[in-house]
Formats: sequence, structure tokens, C-alpha cells
Amino acid sequence: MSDPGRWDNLTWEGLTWQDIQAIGMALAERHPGENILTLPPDRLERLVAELPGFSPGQTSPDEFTLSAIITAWIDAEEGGDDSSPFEPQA
Amino acid sequence: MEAADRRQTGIYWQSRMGNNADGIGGNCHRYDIVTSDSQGRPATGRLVVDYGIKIHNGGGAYDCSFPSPEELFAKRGQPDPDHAPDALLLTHSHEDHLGALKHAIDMGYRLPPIHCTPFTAELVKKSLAGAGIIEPDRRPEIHTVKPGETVRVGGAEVTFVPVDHLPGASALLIRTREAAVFHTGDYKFDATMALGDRADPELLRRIGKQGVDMVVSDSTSAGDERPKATEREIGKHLETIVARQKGRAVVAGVLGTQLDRVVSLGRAAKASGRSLVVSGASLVQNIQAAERAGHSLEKAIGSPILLAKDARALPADKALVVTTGAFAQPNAGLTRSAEHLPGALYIGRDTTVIIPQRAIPPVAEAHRTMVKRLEATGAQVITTERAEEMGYGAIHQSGHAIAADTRLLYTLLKPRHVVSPMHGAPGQIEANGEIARSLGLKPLILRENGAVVRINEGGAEIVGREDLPRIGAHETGDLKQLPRARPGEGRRPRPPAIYRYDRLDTTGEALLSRNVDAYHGPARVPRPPRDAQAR
Repeated sequence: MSDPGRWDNLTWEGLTWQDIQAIGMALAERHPGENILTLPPDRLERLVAELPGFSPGQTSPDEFTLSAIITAWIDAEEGGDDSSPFEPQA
Repeated sequence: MEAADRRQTGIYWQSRMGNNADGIGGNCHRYDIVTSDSQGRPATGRLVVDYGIKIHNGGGAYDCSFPSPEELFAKRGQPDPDHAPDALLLTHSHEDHLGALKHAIDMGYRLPPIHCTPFTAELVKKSLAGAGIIEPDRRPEIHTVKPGETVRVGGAEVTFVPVDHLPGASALLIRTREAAVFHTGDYKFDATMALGDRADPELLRRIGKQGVDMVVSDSTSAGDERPKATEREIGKHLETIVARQKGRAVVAGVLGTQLDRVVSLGRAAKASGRSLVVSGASLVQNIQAAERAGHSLEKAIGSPILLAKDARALPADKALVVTTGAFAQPNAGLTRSAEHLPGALYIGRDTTVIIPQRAIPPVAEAHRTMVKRLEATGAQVITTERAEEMGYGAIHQSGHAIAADTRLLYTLLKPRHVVSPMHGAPGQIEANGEIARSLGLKPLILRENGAVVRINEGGAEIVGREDLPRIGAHETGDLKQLPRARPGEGRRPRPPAIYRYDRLDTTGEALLSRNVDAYHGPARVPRPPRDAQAR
């Protein structure tokens, strides 16, 4: 698990709504405790807007963009790593 | 071969890849509407129903194939030719019904507006985003339709009729002034499924009374005369199995879209004091998509669902982990565990693995191998077949109409003219036709794609036959370069694959031409080595 604190001083200057995979990875790093299974769209939009260096520009995200971001976030969080809660006892 | 004449009044139906002699997959149908409006003026339109892939398991030259978009959709950046459809209607969200959308876009085609229910819409967005199709000018318009709603499109009124298959699954009633076709999509009758709207026999009876000329119907399990297990019964059997695993870890392997089964597993976990834990990106994404579409699994289960990262402190016997891999797909959760890939879910001698899904013939060998490997870890594996042998009862039921369901549908709809079976191998299609005959209905048996059938008040007749090429898709080994996906930062999900597209003949066997034009974005990067992919 990477250290969420290392993002505190890192900015992704100019990150926009089109940078979907980068946003997904950034959200996975910064908000590991978030319940992504039931995350409402308005909260997702706010979490993205709060990313350091994020530049929303003139456009608001459409539903497709928000769906794509949550998909990228889950990809970044789960990846190919179907890690097990049983490993510590194994 | 000349195009069939579609000028006379009626509804013209053509199976593009819904009646394959080589098995189910790549489902796609074209409906041409030739009618008149309320003032008697001629009105025409074209609808495409579903656009899926046929997965090629067990080697061969292609990863999948699908109906060629060349005579189906318009090229992006070019004016509409006369064949551009008015709409693409999706019955549900399985890959064999929508998996080719991303390929058509990558081949440079512009999809018409899509009409579908909310969960299907979410999985379309997921499919396109997962393929790196994120630019607004490449994405199709998506219009969500409420279950039961009627939309006017392409000169017809189309009603999305809820059926029992997976959340949001719909049959389509396509009605004009002159004719009505009921296209079932994939369906069955099970009033105990938890998510989405249920098939309503009374609604179907009313539709029948209004008049249906032709039923185009799912044949997959039509030959199955065995008694049917409902999802509630399956849930009770799973509850018994889980209750008997005291002190053991329990892992279940499902298909990523099998969300009603996840609910049944969640209820079984709750009854035994276990938490439901979900693992694997596709399953988590589908549960999230269901939530966005208004199908809450947590509400249906009555307790929270945990992600694997949130469940590490749980004792093994206090969790039931659900992952993917019921069909032994490469890179699915159970498969990764069976192959001991780095980071895979741990499965060992203190684990019981439940696979509440019957393996279909194309994956049977891979499934047997996976089960053997899981057992080699010392785990106990309870497959669908073994659950019955062990006396637990059924833990799986096909998502498709068995013989009794098929009879019920035809009895409710009472089609005036004809039943045409689709979505089946030749034997399944014949079994469906035999049910129609037994009810005094006339079956129209098509053993291959391409026939053009005209339906109107006078009946249904074949008015022509067209050769319909397929496209074979083969992963090249290159991956798409996505914007701002900084290498080395964060965990790196695998970028989408780049495919090579070949044109195949109507049977999918003969190569007609290689490397059909495709557009994948501005840059390509080489595929990372396998150990990097496994991270």
C-alpha cells in the first residue's frame, strides 16, 4: 500500500476531466477509505475537484465522464490484485 | 448477393448474428420499418437490436468475432449513407449483446443513439471507458428508458418489457400500424429474483390481447424439461452450504454480471454471521453500476458489502468472499488463485470454494482444470453438479427460458402468425420450434443468419437472403496510450488492448480480407511483460 501522505505536496498541474485514468489513480491513492461501492455522483465530483492541481476548466463533467472515473478508480484500487483478507491468517 | 427488397409495408427482421450454426454469440438483429403515419404518409426507419461479441474460447486465430459494422453503421466524419440506423436498442448488458460497440467505434464507425434501461446504460459506459473510448465525439448518445416505457423511434413504437434475466433486462415490443413483433432478448420467468423489475405475466397477456404477429424468441434452454430452481431456492441451498462451513474460509466464484446470485450469497453470508466481501475490479464495477442504476445490492441483502481491502482484519470464518471466475476466464479471481498468480486471493486447505454456476460447453475444459488446481491447494470445491450430489440441491439455474417458460410465454402472447426461434445452437432452435408446434403455432426455423423476413397483417415470409460478413478481432499485443496515465505513479491498471480486425465470411470460417481500417488513438505503447501485468 502506498503512503497517502506522499500526495500532500504533489500537484497534477492542469489535470482536467478528460484525464480519466490519472484521476482514478489519484483518487485511489488519496481516498483509500472511501466506500466506492455506494459513492454518490455529487461526492465523486467534489473529490475530483479537490485534487491538487485539478483544473476543471469551463466544462462540467457529464454522466459518462463520472462513470468512467469511478470505473478507473475501481480499476486502480482493485487492479489485478484480488488481495485476500485471509492472507494474514494463511 | 443483392440486397433484399424492403419497400412493401411491414416490419422486416433480419438476424445478423443471432442464429449462428456455430453457436451462440455476437447477437445482433436489424429491423426495417415501412409504415404510414396517421395522415397516411409513408414512414420508414431502421433499428438495430443488440450488438454483441462471440467469444472464441480455446485458441483459434481470433479472440472474438462480431457482425461487421460495414453495412450496419455510418463511418465517423462521413455523411449518413442511406443505411444508417435511427437507433440501437439494447435488451441487456451481457457481452454477447453489447460487447461489439467498442470495436465498431475503434473501427471508425459512429454509433446511432442507444436506447436501453439504466443498468445497461451504465455497463455501456463502463465498456467504452474500459476500452479507452472517452472522447465525447466518439461516444454515442445514450437514452435511458424506464422498464415498461414506450419510446417512438425509427417509425415504430418500442416498449421495453421487463423480463427476468439480470437487472434491467428487457424484451422489446416493436409495433407499427401494420404489425407487431415481440423480440424476447434473453429471458426466463423467476419472480423471486431480487434486483430490478420482474416479468409480469398479466402485462404479457395484455400485450397478447392487443395483438402480436411474430415472436422472435430465446432458444438457449428451451429444450430443458427439468424442473426449475428459483433464485430463492438457490439462496436457501447456498445458506445451508455456508452454514456448514464453520471455522473455514468461504470463497465463491460467480460471473461478473451475476448480481442476483451475489445477493443470494450475501443473504447466505448474513444468515451465518459472515460479512460479504467482493473482490475483483469487474465485479466491484458492476455492483457500483447497479447502485448508480438504482439496484442496491446492500439493500437487497440487508447488510453492508465490504471490499477486500476493508476486510483484512476479519477472521477468515467471518467472511464470505465473492470473486469472478465461474467460467475460468483468464485473469478472473478464481483463475488467478488456481494459477497462484502474485497478489491473487489466497485459497488453501482451510477454504471452501463454491461455484454456483454451471460451466457451459466452450469453457468446460478450462473449468475442469481450474477446479483441479484449486483442489490441489487442499481446498474443498463445491461445483453446481457436486452440490446436487452432496444433497444440497440446486445452486444454479440457467438465466434462459426452459421449456415450461417458453410454453408460458407463447400461451400469454398468442402470436397470430409465427414464432421464430433465435439465440441457440441448431438443436436448441429446433426444440423451441417444437414447443411452438405443440401449441398450434407455426415456427419459422432459421438455421443461419441473413434471411430477411417480412411481417405484416398477412403473416411472415422470407423475402430475401443476404451474405453478412463477420469481423474477427485479434489482440495485437499493443496497448492504447491513455491521456495523463503517468507511468510509475500509483497502481497501474492495464491499459486497453489494441485489436487487429479481419473481415470473415458469413460463417466466420473463411478470411475475406486482413486489417480492416481501425482507429485507436494517437499513440501506441508496447505491452508490458507478463510479471508487470500481474501486479
